[in-house]
Amino acid sequence: MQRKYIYSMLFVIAVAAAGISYTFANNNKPLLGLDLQGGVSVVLKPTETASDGALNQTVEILRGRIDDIGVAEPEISKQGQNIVVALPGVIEDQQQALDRLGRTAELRFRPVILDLGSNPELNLSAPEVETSDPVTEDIELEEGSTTSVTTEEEPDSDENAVSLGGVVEPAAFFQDPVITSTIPESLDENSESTLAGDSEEGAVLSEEDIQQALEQQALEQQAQSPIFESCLSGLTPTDSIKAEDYIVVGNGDENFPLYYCLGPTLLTGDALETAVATLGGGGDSTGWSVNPTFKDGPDGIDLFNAASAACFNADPNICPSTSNDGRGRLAAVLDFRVISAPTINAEVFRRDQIVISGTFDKEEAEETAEALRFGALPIELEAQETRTVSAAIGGDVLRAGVISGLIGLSLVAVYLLLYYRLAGIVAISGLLLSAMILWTIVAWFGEKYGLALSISGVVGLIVSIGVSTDSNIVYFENVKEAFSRGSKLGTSAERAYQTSISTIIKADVVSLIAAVLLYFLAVGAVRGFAFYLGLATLLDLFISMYFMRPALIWLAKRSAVKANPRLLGMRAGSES
Amino acid sequence: MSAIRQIFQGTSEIDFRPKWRVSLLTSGILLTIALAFVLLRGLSLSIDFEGGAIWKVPVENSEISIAEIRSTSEDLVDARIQEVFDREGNRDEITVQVGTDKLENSVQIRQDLATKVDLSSDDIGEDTIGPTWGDEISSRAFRALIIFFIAVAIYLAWTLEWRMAVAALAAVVHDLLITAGVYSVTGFEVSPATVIALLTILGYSLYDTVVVFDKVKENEVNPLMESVKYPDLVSQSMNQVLMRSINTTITTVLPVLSMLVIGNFFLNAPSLSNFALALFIGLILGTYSSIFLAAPLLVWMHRLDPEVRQHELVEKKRTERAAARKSATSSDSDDDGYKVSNATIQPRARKKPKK
Repeated sequence: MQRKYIYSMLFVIAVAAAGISYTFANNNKPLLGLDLQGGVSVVLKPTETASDGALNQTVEILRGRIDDIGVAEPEISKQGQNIVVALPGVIEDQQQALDRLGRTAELRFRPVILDLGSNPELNLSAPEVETSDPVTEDIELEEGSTTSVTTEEEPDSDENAVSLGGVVEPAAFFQDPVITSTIPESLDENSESTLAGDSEEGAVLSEEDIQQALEQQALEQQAQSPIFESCLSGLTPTDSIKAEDYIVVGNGDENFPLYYCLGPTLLTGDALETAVATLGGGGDSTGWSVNPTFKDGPDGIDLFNAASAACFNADPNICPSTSNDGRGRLAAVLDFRVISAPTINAEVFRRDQIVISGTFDKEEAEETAEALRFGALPIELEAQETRTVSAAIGGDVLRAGVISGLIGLSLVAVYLLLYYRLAGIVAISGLLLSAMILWTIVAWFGEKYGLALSISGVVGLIVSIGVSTDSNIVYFENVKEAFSRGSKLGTSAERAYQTSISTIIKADVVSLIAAVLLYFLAVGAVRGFAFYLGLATLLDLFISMYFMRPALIWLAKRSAVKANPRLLGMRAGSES
Repeated sequence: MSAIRQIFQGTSEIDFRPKWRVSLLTSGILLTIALAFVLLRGLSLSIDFEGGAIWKVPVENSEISIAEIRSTSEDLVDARIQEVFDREGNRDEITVQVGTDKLENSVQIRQDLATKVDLSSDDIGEDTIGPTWGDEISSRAFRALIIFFIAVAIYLAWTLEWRMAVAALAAVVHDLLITAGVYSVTGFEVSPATVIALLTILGYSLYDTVVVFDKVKENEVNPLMESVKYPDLVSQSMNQVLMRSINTTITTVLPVLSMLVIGNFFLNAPSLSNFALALFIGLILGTYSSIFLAAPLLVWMHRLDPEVRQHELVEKKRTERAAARKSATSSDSDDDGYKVSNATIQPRARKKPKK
């Protein structure tokens, strides 16, 4: 019976010790907030004059994105015509976050007119090169282009080289993602949606088969001269965002670039309601995929279905066939980067049953989904140089706060010792243990998720110390009451725990409700506060149950304490 | 002396009922004053809520410190002044941000800054800044609070009782409004840290009320308390938690008080002491309101209940009869229950409590 208490105490001490050793071994430190330590700031400059409303809206979207990343307690504000974003921490750690932030995250769906393979410059020289190759006018252009990439292919495969780029990488072909509907709208589509498996099947096709398919594809494209020509009219990878333009964009992958000539925008990210990253959600695929959910109605899924119908039927004027099964492809373009150019394998999709499967890894899928969720910024922003800013609260203030806080806590400790004696030691050890665990968690979250500890967090923690102390006080007072009624000291400690823990839980649940609701419903600093409140409250419960109780009961059963209850700050009742 | 000793020993026998009349009245007056100030005079919101102006003082070739910049003009005493470094870590500029209330002096401030660093006024970049704590954050926080209040009301009604839920929430609103009133009266700037302080007070006040009410709840089912009338039962519960409340207030307030005193008098950090003041007042109010506002409200609501009224009438008759029967020995049945609950077997001769 006595053992149980000792084990429980040892367990809590071991947890705290392990935590703090881990923290020091990894040199984890809490990430101090902007107000305490300063941080990095970047000025985001709109590329063209933006209205006040658009700027405000942009600020809100940016805030949403940062909150989605973590609890960094960012500062986002308008400064003149610009938007300034500041995050706590150092440039090396935060550069990536800031880069992600500045992304316009403008999603557009554009039909693939031409898959250019790995060389975007294929078409650059096209209009200038004269060639005498006696085929059709269209071929003339293409032949010209091939010359510029000096492919060594056989004459009969020339056209492939044109349509899919100088270097036809089979891998590139297989990696082309597929948009599938997990639930086909009609029976007709049923068979089609399973075609998503084609890309896998493709893996076992012989090279010959591929060449054939590519050949056919190229031929088909030639037949669609008007839009095809638009593609070749001297376009380079571009930042043009004009919806009606034909553009050439790449997938932004340095190791394995792929370029596409894309037609005018068919729909934008505005049609999206939300998007999530899922593992194995792509029907045939077992990897990561992105599942967008479109809005209902004419501004949402209807637009998408119009586009998908055009591509499914390979409408030569909108979305020509560019895949080996004669379907068109619809590219999802995010900030001038093709994130996916899937073949459309169904004509009609349900708004929540669309899967963009591709070559995503976990991070890419989540990043893409996040970017889609928070939608396009209403204005295009250009990030200026990232700079470091000093703390808004001076170091002297911080020092003053820490010193005075420590003095205050020492006074608390002295008071507890004077009033509760040995029980005071239980309370103080409990506080120290919970401080160790708290430090571990806060440091870990700081390193891992950029959780910032700002002045409000510090104060929240100081007050939470008060609340933890209160759990001890509630308990000790109840023990005292039971003891003065005449119970034995040990029995008093055991009995009083039942009523005390019920009180502590009731009160702590209120704090937890506050923490959870504020965390999920509020933004910015309030969210940070909620995080610390919740954390401290859970720790309070943990320490109360597994340390305070066994420690006090164990103490109450020592013979020295039994002989002199004053050691626990108790005044004798009828016994002893 | 002996009253204090009794409190320390947890054997106090304070009758809270007459005190409640005073405290309700006091709270009512304070609340009215606070409300009047907040509504009529309003709060002075910091730059984070209102936005303002920013000046960018180029300091590549200067060693000037933040403190020197701050001393440029009286308007910059509570300005937000930060150093900005480029990627190589060279100091680039010092930014000075002031709230909208200083905007009327902006030309002068800019000129003063320029003089300070031997530049012309035109070299000092000037811009307006929007709030970092925009309306959107406020409205979302507010919405979250409303939902929180509803959730907590339901939770407390379920785990305690609905009257306790109402009384607890009333106490919280009381604490928050009076703290806000203090800000309005003193003209202290309300910063995001203040809002966090208010949220802390809100959480603490509710927490404290729950602890106190749980004692009432505990006594309601205590067989020894069966014969005790509700107001007395609540009053006795207050006696039982009094020491807890005092100790908790001491331990919670000590660090804050130390911040207030040290921050203000020794280390001259006004932003810190301003913040600590809000917490100090709020935390004390949080404990006070549980015993002196929430409890009497609970008793009052209990009395309004027709069932309780009926019950009280019956009780009254019964106690009258009981009193008549044993009037020779005991004065009042209330006292009986009371003494039982507080274990009167206490030895009297004990010397002053060891502190």
